[in-house]
Amino acid sequence: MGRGLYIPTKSTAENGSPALDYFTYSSSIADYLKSASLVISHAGSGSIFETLRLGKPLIVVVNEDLMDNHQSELAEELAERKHLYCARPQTLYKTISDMDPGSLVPYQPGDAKPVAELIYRYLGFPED
Amino acid sequence: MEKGDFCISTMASSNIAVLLAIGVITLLVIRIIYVINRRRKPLHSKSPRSLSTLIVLGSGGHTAEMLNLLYVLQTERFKPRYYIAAATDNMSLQKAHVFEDSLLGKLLAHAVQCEKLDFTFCTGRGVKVPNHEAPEEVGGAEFMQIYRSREVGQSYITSVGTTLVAIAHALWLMIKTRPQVILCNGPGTCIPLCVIAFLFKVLGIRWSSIFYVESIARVRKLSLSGLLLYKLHMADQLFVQWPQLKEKYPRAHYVGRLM
Repeated sequence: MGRGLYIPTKSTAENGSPALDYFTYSSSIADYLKSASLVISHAGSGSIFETLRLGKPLIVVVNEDLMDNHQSELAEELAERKHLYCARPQTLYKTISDMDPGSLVPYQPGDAKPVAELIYRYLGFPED
Repeated sequence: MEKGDFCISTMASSNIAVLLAIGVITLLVIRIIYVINRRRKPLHSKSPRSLSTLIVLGSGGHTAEMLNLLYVLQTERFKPRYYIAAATDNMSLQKAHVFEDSLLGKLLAHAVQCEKLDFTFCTGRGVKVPNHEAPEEVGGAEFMQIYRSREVGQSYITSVGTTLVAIAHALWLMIKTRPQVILCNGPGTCIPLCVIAFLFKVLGIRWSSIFYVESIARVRKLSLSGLLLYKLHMADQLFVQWPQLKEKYPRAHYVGRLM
């Protein structure tokens, strides 16, 4: 998958084994996220906040191979605030077996209005 | 004798040249200090009607954050709007298009409502959309692409040439749009645009206000773009989205998160 060599096998739910599907690209994964009860994702801010907004339990797996690894900053900060779990490829299994989704704190979405207010004030527009 | 005169006159003219150079540099330094300090005061004594605005989009997360800001801004205060994204990035401009279309939808719905109400009740946000007006005029948005100075993995030797092309292109776009407001939030493409905007201010070509919102992904350290704008005093207001960063960079503003 991606640039890797491993290709999963698609399967339907049979004999108690879970259904398995995959795709390499989707312009919008919102529907997949909505139907999920657990999301395991890379550390991109788009994926993280899209999942948190839906209130789904989330495990972020940080790619340690990236050179300038500022991406882990966000995942670690949000994990510290108990909004998600942050794992490394080696610790993912342990994270899944130890996790308690009930202990996660729902993320309160941010608000851009205070930024807009400061911009208005700076430019001399009356405030809302 | 003649030779001596010549020497004296060349010495005199070189002295004048040196004095002129010192004069020009001093003026420039004074002007730069003025431009930098001007940032802290409100720009207009009266409230402006609307300001032409350049919006620099980056890929993925950057664009999502910028759109969250645009959704709460009163767009009639920021027009015309010029969107710029890297030439290799098609998704961002598409998303900006969707945003502009949604504004248009709101305007048209408002106009239809106004017509039903006979226009007299509709002073709302001062928006009037006569039916005959073309959609482009209503929206007041333009979409542009900019060359990147260096693609990921490009060699350093060829990147000298592409950087020059990118700077020339940025200059051309800035001359064409001459924005009064610049909104950017992270991609490296905003740096040449902001530097040119700053030079325009120093040279008195165009006064603009630069607003930079650091990406929410930056928790402990500013990005290179953010750090440059902060250290060089180029951003009029620089926002960070985490309190830790505000502690580290006291001149930044922290008023919550965009996402």
